[in-house]
Amino acid sequence: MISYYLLFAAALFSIGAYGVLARRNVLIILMSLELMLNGVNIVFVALSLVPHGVQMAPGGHVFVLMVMAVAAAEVAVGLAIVIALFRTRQTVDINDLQMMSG
Amino acid sequence: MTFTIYELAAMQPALLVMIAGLLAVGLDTFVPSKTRIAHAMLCGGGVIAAMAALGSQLYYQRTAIHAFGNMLVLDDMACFLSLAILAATGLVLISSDADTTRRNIGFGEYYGLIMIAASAMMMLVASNDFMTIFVNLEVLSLALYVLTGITRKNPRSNEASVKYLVSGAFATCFFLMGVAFLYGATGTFALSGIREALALGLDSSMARVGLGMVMVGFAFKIGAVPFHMWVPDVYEGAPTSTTAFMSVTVKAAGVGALIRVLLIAAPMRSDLWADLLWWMAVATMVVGNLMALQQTSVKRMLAFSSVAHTGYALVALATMRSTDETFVPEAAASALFYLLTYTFMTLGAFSFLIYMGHELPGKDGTSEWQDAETLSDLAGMADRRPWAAAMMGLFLLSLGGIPPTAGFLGKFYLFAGAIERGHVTIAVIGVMASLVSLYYYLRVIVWMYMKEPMIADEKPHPSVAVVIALAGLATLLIGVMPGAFIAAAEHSIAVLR
Repeated sequence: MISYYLLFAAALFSIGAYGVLARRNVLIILMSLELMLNGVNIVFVALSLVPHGVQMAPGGHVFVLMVMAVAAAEVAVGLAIVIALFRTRQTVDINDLQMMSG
Repeated sequence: MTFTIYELAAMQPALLVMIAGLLAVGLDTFVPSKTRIAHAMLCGGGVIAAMAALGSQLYYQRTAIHAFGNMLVLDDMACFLSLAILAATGLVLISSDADTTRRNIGFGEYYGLIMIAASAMMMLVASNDFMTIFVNLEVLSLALYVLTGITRKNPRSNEASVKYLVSGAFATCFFLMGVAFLYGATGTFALSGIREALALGLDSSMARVGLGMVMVGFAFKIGAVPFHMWVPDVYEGAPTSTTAFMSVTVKAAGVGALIRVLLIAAPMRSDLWADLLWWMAVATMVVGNLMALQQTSVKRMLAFSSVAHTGYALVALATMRSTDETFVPEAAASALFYLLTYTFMTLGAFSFLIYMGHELPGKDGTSEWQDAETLSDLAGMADRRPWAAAMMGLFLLSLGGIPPTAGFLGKFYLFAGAIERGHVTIAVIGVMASLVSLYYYLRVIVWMYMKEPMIADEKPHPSVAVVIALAGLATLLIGVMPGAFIAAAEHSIAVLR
C-alpha cells in the first residue's frame, strides 16, 4: 500500500524537478519547486506509517508542518525577489539573466 | 515531552542575537532613517552579549547542555563555531557601515537580516536533529537570499538573488528527500537515534540514498563542486559586505553541521561517505583553483578561491577514515581550525575591496558606488594606501598558505593530518592546488605594488579600515600563536557526543 504513495510522491517530485530544469519563467520554476516540496511531504506522511519496532514514529507529520511553513516563507521571499527583478529588468525569463559569467 | 526553563540556556546566545536583530527591524519606526548609530549599538550589543554568554558557557558551565529532547545541544563545538560566526558577524556589522550608507540600504532590514542569519547559523551548529537542522538551514538561506538582493535597484544584485533562490530551493528539496529517506529507514530524525538504528543493521539502500542526498544538500550550501555553480554569480552580484558575510559564516555553519551529522549519525558507516567526500574534496580543490586562475575580477576570483577553500576543509572530513580502516573522528578538528583561519583572511580580503570603493557617474547625473572589483581598480594602491595594501597582501599570502600567517598553519595542520592517516594522494593534490592558487593571489599583489594607479578617486571608508586592521591582527595572531586555537578545536571534537 505504501509503495503507491511513494510512487505518487516520486512522480510529483520528478515533475517538479523537470519543471525547474526545463522551464524558463521564474514564476513557473517557483511553482515547480512547490510541487517538489509537496512530493517530499507525501513521502514524510507515507513513511510515518511504517512501524519501527513496537511503536509508530509520528515525527513525519510534524516535519510536514515545518516544511509547509518554510515553503510558504520561501514563496513569499521568492515572489518579492521576482518583483524586484522585474522592476529593474522587465523580464522574468531565466535565460535573460546573464549579466555575470566567466 | 516537557521542557524546563533551564533548557533555554542552550539557545540563549542565539536568542540574544535574534532578539537584537528583531529589535533592529522595529527600531526603524522610532529613529530617523538617516542615523545608524542606534542600530549599530543594538546589534553590536547583541553580538557582544552572545559572545559573553558563550564564554561563560565555555569557562564556567563546561558541560554541554542538551535541550528540547536533545534537538539542540550547546557543546564545545557549537561554542567554538558560534564564536567564529559571531566574530565574523561583528566585523561585517562594522564594515557594512560603508555599504549601507553608500548605497542607501535601509539600516533596519539590513542589520536585522544579518543578525537573524547569524542566529540561525549559531543554532544550526548546535542542531542535533534533522528537524532543527532543516529549519535553521532554511532560515539562514532565506535571510541570505534577501541580503543578496538587498540593493534592489541594482540589476546584478537582483539576478544574483534569483539565481541563489532557485538553485538554493532546488537543493533544499533534495536535502529534504534525503531526510525523508533516512526517516523511512530509521524511524527518527534525531542524529543519535539514526546512529542507533544504523548500528542495529538497519542500513538499507534507503538509508544510503538518504545519507547521500543529505550530503548533496550540504555540499550545495557550502559550495562544493559539483554543486558550486551558483557561488561565483551570487558572490559577484551581492553587495560586497554581504558576500564577505556569507562566504565565511555559511561555510563555518554548513561544515559544522555536516561534521555533526557525520560524527553523530553515521560514524561507524564511514565506508558509505568517506569515498564520496574524497572525490568531492579533490574536485572542489582542483576546479575552484583552476577557475580562479582565469578571473580578471578580483571579487569573482575570491569567490572561486572560496570554493577551493571549501575543498581544503573537506579534506579533513574525507580523511577521517584512515587507510588502515580505522576511524579517527579527531581529524575533524583540523577542519574546525581551518574554518577559523579562513574566516579572518577572507573577511579581510573582501573588506579591502569595500575599502577601495569609488564613485561611478550614473545614468541620470547621479553617481553610483562601485566597490573595487577588477585588478585595474587595485593597481598602484600600495603607494597611495600603503597600510591597507600591506594588509591585503597579508590576507592574500595567508589565503595562499605562506608562513607565518594563519592560512599556512591551517593548511599545514590539515595536510599533515591527512598524511598521518595514510592519505598521501589527497594531501599531494591539495598542496599542488594551493601552489597553483599562489599564482592568482600573487598577481593581485603584483598589480598593487608594481603598476601605476588607474583610479584616482577612491574614497576609503574609515570604519572598514577598522575591520581590515582587526582581521589582519587575527590572521597574524592565529599564525604566530596557534596553540590555544588548535587546542580548542581538538577539545571540541574530543567531547562531541
